[in-house]
Amino acid sequence: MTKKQKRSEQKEAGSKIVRRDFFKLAAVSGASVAVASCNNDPVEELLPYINPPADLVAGKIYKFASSCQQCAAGCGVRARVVDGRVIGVEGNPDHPINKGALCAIGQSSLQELYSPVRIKSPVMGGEADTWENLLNSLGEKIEQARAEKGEAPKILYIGPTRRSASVDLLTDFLKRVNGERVFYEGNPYRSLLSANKDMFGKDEVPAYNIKKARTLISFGADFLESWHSVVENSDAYGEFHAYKDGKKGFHAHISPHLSLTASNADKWVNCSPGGEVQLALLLTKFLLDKSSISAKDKKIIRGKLSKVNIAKGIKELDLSMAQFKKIANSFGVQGHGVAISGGVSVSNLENASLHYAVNMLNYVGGALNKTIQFGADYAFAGSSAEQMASVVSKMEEGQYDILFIHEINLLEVLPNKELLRKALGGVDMVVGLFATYNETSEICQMLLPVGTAFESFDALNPKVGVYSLQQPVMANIPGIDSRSFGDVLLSLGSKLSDAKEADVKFATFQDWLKAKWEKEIYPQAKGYLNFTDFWHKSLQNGGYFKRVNPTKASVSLSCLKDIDLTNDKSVKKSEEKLKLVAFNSNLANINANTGNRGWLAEIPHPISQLTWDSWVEMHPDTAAKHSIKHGDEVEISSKQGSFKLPAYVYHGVNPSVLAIPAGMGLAMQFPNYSARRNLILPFTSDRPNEMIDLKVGKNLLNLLPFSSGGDDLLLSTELNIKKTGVKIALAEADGQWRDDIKALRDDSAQYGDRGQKGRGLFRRASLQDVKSGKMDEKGHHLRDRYYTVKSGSPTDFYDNVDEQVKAENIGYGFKPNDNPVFHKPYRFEMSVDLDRCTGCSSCIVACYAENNIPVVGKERFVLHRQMSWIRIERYFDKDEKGEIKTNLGPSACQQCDNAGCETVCPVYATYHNPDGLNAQVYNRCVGTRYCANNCIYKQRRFNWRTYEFPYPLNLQLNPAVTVRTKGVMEKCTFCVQRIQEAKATAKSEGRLVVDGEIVTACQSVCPTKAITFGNGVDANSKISQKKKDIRGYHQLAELNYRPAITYLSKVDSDEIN
Amino acid sequence: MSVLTYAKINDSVIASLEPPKYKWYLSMLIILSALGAGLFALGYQIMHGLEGSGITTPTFWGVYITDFVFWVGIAHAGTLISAVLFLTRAPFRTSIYRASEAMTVFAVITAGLFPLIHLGRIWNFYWFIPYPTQRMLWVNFKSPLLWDVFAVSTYMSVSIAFFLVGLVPDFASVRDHAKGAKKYFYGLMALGFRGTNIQWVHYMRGYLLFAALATPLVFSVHSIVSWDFAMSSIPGWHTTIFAPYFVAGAIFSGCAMVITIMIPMRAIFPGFGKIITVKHLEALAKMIIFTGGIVTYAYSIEFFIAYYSGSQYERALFWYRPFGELNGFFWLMVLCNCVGPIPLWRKKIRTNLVALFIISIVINIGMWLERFNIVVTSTAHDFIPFVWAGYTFQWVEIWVTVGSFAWFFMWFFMFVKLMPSLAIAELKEGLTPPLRHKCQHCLPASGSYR
Repeated sequence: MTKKQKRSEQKEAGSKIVRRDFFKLAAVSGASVAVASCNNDPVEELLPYINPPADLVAGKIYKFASSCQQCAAGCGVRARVVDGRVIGVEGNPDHPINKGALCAIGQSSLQELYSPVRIKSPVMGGEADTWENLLNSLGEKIEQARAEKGEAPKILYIGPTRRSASVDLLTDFLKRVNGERVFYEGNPYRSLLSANKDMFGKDEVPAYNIKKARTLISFGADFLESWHSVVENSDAYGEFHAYKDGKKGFHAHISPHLSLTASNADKWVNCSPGGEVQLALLLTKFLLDKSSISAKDKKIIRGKLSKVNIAKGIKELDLSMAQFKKIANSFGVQGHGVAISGGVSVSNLENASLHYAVNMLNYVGGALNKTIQFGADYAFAGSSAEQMASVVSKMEEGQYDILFIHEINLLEVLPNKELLRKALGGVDMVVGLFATYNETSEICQMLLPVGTAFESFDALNPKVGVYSLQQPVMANIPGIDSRSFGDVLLSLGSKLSDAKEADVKFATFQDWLKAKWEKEIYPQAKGYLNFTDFWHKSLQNGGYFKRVNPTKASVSLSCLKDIDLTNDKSVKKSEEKLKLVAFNSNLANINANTGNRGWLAEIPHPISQLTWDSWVEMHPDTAAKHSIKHGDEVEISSKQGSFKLPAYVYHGVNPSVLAIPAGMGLAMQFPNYSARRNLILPFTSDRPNEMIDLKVGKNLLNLLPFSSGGDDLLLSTELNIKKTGVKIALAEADGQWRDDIKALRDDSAQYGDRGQKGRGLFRRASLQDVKSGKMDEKGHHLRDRYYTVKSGSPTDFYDNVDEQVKAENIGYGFKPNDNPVFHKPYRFEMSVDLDRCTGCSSCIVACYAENNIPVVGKERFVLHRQMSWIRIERYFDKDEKGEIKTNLGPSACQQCDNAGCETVCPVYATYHNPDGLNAQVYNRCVGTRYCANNCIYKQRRFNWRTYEFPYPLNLQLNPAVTVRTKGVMEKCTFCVQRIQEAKATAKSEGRLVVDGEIVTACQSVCPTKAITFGNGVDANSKISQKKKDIRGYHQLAELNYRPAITYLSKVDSDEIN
Repeated sequence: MSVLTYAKINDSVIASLEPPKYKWYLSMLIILSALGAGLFALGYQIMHGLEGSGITTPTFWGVYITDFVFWVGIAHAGTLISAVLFLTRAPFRTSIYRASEAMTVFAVITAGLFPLIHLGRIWNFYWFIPYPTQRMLWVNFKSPLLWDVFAVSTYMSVSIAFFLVGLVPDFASVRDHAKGAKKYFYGLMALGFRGTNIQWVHYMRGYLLFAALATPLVFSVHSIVSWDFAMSSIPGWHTTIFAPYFVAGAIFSGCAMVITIMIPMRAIFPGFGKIITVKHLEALAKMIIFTGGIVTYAYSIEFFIAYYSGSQYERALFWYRPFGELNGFFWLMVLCNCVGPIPLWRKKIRTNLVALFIISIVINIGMWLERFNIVVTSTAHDFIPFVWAGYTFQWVEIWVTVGSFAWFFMWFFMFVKLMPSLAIAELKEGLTPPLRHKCQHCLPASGSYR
């Protein structure tokens, strides 16, 4: 019987359905149910690389040149992109401003891109909506505003200070709709501009040619942290201040507060507010007679300075005559000196007169047109504070129908929140153009998510001749529907009634930008085939850069008539009330856009070493007067408001002031690690923690009235201080707060001795000693005093070593029998030039980004459980003259050849690899922590718990580096993933790694090029040259761990000594 | 002694094995709840990581390693008393050695847990063991921690074996008095020991052999534990006196712990008072005086060496211990360990059981503090001043420590009810054998049995 027969038989037998038919039916119905149950999720977003670009290699790092938008300096960056997402950002070496380096804030822009509080879609009145709907309704609203009668603009735009293509487009747009625009900048550039305009006829922020100078005097200007073009200045400062061929520039800084810039200066003059003006006048007067300026000008200036008494003045500033004369004489040589004034610490009533006084000094000292050059026209100066005040009052009056707030956290960057809220209430519709939620976005009726610099096209023009392109380096983060600012403007323009007349023909901002460049920039360029060629090459290089010669400034002193320079209202050390000094740092500044980023919150402020909070710095005398101790909570109050802050009592602040960091007090979201502390159910442990809102510190603007100082915001007021009686656990990276440590001075505030206690970790040498090569006698070159390890056979625990390698190693400096390890062909080593290192902490951010280091939060930082692999160790040591000097430098795993960590690990989780690194195998680690105990440099970090990278921060993780979990030890391995990558490339090409081929993350961003990395076995490598430097030494060399980091000691300038 | 007879010893020891009363159950309830709290804390730690304990950068070791060294120290007295004093024929040993040996076994079981508890990834503890794997992973024999693994496990196995061997004749005695399932159990443990002469001969030889084997371990284990510290480079750890210093300290704390346990046992079990005499306890007190002297000497010589070496790191550390932030622990340690035993020099005090008990507790606390001082203050204040830190106790480590005491006492409480806590057979050796009328001719003519 065939099967067919059987089936028909079965049918006949009465069963209506046979087995096979049943299966067919079941399959069809099941499939249709499955299809029907699928919803319409956009599948393409889950598989972005289903059709990857032809030349894309998975896992390979591609670098795209772009620009940094974190401040107006306009540095060029290179985004490191893997598999379609940015994992790191470093400086663009081809860029004329930052030359390959990048500051801490610039790198932390990744945390803006991957912020957990990114705005996911356009929002109207708290509810998500589509772009099309909102742009339509906004277009209608603009039409209405335009239709209203009256000359006064009905539309206001407030945004950050930038000179860029998108701002040009904005200007066009506002012109069409009769709008007004205000650019916010909290740093006091406006008053500098006025002074320059009055005296030199140039309405611009000048370029300071620090590289060429021999003597630099900064009047409050923290040009290494936040004033002016920081990375550019740091690079120049490295050249100027670093020891080279027996010479070294001299830097003096005068301010009431020990900023990072001040700590780098050879002489920090601690003055009360206004003392800066006085010093400028004293120097001017001293130099006037010898000056080469015209006799007429001399007469005017002499008349102006008639009241200035040098002897009395320098006594008030606690300077000796000899010191003063040396500074002045060195400054006075034509073209030697440069004086820089500015910074938020001088945002006080004396600000305006300071710029005039310093301009005068630059003129008299012969710096003008030599070390101070005009023509660059930096794009730093925003709208004046007066203008800002006027638009705020107009807002309050209800003049504006629409207000665009673009990437400015308005409520946190201006004083008097009540007034601002009231003013914003007077506007019909507040449109927020933000990438992330913030305090200001909360009060916007409409929120349009704009892309960050990594997601949008733009072109910056930070100074004349620099056209820095910015390109999207990745697609939008899945789930975030943002558009670039330029695109928003274009599509908004096309919604207006005059769209045809206005010739809105560009579909995207990219097209608009290309057209603009074709019209404006391409004609200037030479040597390109056509525009497409130019455009592609510019995109690759990061922009188009041309050399622009400085323009000569001429001097007119007629303006000095109206300026009251010699008012000595603040110079005297009065018993008056304490004054507020605001200070910016390399991590947070008055523009308040960085205080809510995990990396920057966790990285210690390099001088105070405090994290996760604001603090108030006060002098020990002030503290003694109010019987305050270091770490006490104090209540700071002014007429406008009050808040409580922990006291940081140390010498680095003038007794007449209280210094508070600016740009703090922002809300941020952070995983609530403590929340589940009481949860004990095992199945919950894999779930991510919920996020809680934190407030990082306090915003000092709450202490201030909204009174414009004319040009700039006034950041000074009188303060009252009261002890609350609460002791605060400071999140201080410096562990020397123990009350048992004998103090440097009369230490009623219990600040403790923060010195190196003679351990020579970060050393100084005098210029004469370095020049004459007498370093050995002073304890340098301890590296040659190793104990001898007499191991019978050096091959006991390591691979067999052939004679040739032995010979090479002997040539490399080891004796035949004292070699714990043989290296061939590499021993990777690092050197840190302490004379160049400014402590800017850029390397730390680079390390966080490269090595997937988690942010642990304040609660854990207080317990010293931070995970940062690099720390900037800061010590305050008294020198021979009793002056307290700041000694700081980066410290990371020293990759010892004779390492303590390796021998004690019971499971070989850490071992010496043939490249000379102390490799760490996370998977093998059981967590005995013995290695960390036996590390004399204390450079190992333990995962006390599993830390989280809340979405989308996890997209930033570097796929080449393991993300560690609880119970595992970790540390720096000189970016071993980069070493391996370079070695693999070299091997495939049949060669050795070339010197300079491997660049560690910290090295790549260092603005002063303080870090050198390379193969120490290669005698011709840069690192081998550095190691031979007479200033070279190893930390704790007497313990014979044979570290691979050679420090080059800082050189004390002899100008002042 | 005259009142003691074979029968009385038998009776009073076997009486201690009677079914427990409510007091025992009450104590066990307290112990088990404390153990439960400790286990909970440990579970929390395994789940959430080590952040519930006070260890941090740079004090990477803290209470757990302190507990480990403390319990290893406690574990020393038992073997010292049972093996070393057996070989040297010290007569006072007989009444106390069984309980102190039990103490040794339980203390070393407790101690062995702590190197695991303190691990970041406890679930991988077996990686310490050199076992062949396909991945060709091996352990690092250079690491003192690995030496610890072998030292502690060897000591644990030898002391357990020695303990059980010593128990064989006594199990036989209990077996003879037991009924039912108990008889079966004790019979099993007695290994068929019937007390024949030939069995005694073999038994005594075996016992002697074990004693000889255990004796070097008394000194080696704590030496090796001390090398965990001495082999590293940290000031305060890196010193050559650690091995003898640790061994003396271990005996010091062990003897104190024996007193701490014996005095209550004597009070609880009515018959024991006559067997464990004040004289025996006094002998232990003398041991404490002696080892306490060594410990005090070691403390002072450490300071001298710190001064004499001229090493600024050593000097800074030894200045930090008495005057630094954690100085409370140091001075309390000096008070407990150096000043504490001084009253024992007076016979009146060392024979006063209340005083002796208090002093023994004080020494126990002092020795815990000594280990804490060594482990924590050294790392808290080493080469890089920038990372100096203090120590804050946190709840997980406190509860784990409490739980470890509970764990120890749980075993001990079970021991006193399951095993004869005094060495019946050896106690009987100390008595004049009873004369039997029928068998008078059996006695040796000289009567010189002893």
